[in-house]
Amino acid sequence: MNTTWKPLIKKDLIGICILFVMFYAFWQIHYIHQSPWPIIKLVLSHFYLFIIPGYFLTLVYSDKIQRVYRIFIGIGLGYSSVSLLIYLLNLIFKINMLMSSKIIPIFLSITGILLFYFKIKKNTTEI
Amino acid sequence: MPDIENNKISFAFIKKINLEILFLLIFVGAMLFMTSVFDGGKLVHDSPYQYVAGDMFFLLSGADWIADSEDVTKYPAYLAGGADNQFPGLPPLFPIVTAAISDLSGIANYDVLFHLNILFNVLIIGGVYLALRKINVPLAILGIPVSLLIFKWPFNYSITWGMQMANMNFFFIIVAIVIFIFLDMPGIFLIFGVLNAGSFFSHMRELITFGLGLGLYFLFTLVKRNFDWIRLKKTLYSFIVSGIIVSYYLPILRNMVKMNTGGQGSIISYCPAMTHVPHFVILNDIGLFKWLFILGICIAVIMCIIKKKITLEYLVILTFGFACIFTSYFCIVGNKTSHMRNFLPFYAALFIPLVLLFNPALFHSYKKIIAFFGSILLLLLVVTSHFPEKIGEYAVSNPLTWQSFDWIKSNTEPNATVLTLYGDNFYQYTLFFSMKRTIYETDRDAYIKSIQANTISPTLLTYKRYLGKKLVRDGNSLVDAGYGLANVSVCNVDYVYSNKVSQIAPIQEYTTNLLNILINEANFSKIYDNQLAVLLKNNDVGGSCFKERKT
Repeated sequence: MNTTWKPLIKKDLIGICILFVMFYAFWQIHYIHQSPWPIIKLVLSHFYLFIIPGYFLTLVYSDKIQRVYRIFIGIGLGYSSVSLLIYLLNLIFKINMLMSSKIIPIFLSITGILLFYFKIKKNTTEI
Repeated sequence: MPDIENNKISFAFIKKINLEILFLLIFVGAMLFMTSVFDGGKLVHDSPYQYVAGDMFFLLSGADWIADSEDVTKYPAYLAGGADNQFPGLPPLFPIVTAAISDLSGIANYDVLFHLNILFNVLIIGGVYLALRKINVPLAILGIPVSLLIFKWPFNYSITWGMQMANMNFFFIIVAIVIFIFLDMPGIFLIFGVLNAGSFFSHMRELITFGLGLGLYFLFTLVKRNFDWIRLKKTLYSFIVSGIIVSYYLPILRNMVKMNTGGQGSIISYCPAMTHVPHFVILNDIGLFKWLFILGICIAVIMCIIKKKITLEYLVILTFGFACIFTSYFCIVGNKTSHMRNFLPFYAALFIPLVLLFNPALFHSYKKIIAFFGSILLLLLVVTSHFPEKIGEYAVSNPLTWQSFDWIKSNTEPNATVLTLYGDNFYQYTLFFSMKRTIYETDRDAYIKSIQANTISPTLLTYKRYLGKKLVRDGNSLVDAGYGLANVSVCNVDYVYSNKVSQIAPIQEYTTNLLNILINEANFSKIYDNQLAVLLKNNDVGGSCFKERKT
């Protein structure tokens, strides 16, 4: 399998980690009188529910869109797609959103990873 | 440090630092520190903090409902005046995001809701920056200090007055604008379609502004004889994706539009700024920046006309900028364009730097350094003249009110009816939905008239309260069932809730009298009270009541 994606993923993961640390640090500056634990829980929730799934869903464009724009689009897509899917599952199958909200981010993240995997596989086959 | 060589000061060391990242870090840190004034620098509060208007509680009730709901096609009885068939007019996406984060983090819905307001404004600023960066880096850097105005009154209406849905949707719109630039890439129309469907379920008005922006863009490429067929095709594909996602609402879309326009059904109409309404934004609200803003728009128009070749990014951002300004003064789907007007600092962030960058040669050599110092200057201007101010800690709710609501939620029957009598802070009825009980709210004016007339009557003029409009879906149509204003006997409800303390002595005396009469002469008993609020239980609902009398 083509290995050019490895440094890309490595850089992306470092980028996401930096984003996480900055996200926390900035909110700690904002919530200056708040102890760290609630802020950490809040930031983890944002990342688990929306930012990470959005990131994986846009991974397939890693060779086409500059990283910072891809992460930004991923954030928007995460908030939009996760909440839409929660809503639609409730609308169609009457599933309570607190149940589905914990599973949907994993499902969307796996979908994004699979899309990326098949794209690499296709590119490798073409080469 | 500056190098001093041959009596000349060299700032070459500045070039070695990534000024852009340094500036952004300082800017975001300063911005978030400044905005801590809105929540007192705390994430967790005892009750909704700085909730200035009823719309904040409206959305909070929505988040509470979504968290409990197993059927989002209708409101629970307590949000529907006891009925079980009310169509939810509330766009669901913002409440879903609020409830999901609250559930996972364990932080109360009301604190998450307020946090999201600030988050989405910050993300919008980031998005505006990234979009402008596609045109020019100094333009982007100079633009973001201007966007700080969003945290200054009257623009901070977007934070404390309940514009959360519009904020989230405007963020989606900014993301969609960025995606539009990349729309020629394979498959990205799917993301575009999902974003637009998300916009539909967040707050439709900004989506219509976005549609206008799309129309302007394609019109412009047509006029310039370089029509963008590829993006038009991909946009149409994305509409199919969005259409499938929102298909449940499509049959009643026309009804929804008609109701939101006050029955006129007009999509676009001229709406002059209503200066008598405090939170309505007018151009003067950006102070000295007004003239730069107007000049920037003129420059943008001239450049669009005279330039033969315009880059895609430039054209996309300008056309959407024009659409946003247009919809700030022309009503879209009814008369609530205040939402678009409140984003004026973001449009200013686009057009004001255009004035400063009119002569690009000026920035040729040291453009980043100039942009850096220019930004510091703009930042100082904004900080000194536009520093956000605190409005009021517990304007509508307070910890004592919230304690009483928590008690009611835990200790009364879910289908109980509660009549709310009087409280100095009871001027936003959406507050009461947090009890999660069916509400009859006493009309304040009628109540005060009774005090002035010195009469105490068991019959009170009350509103049977619904979350938003009382809508019922009948097949493919939506019916507005009207308001629930009616005279109600206090002895026909399950509970009476009131404040026992008032800043106004005659009101306190009257309310205390009425509560005592209910206990002594009707079948009520006190089952809860704290320093502020009291709850009486009716032990004989529909039974004998006291007689009307003079006080």
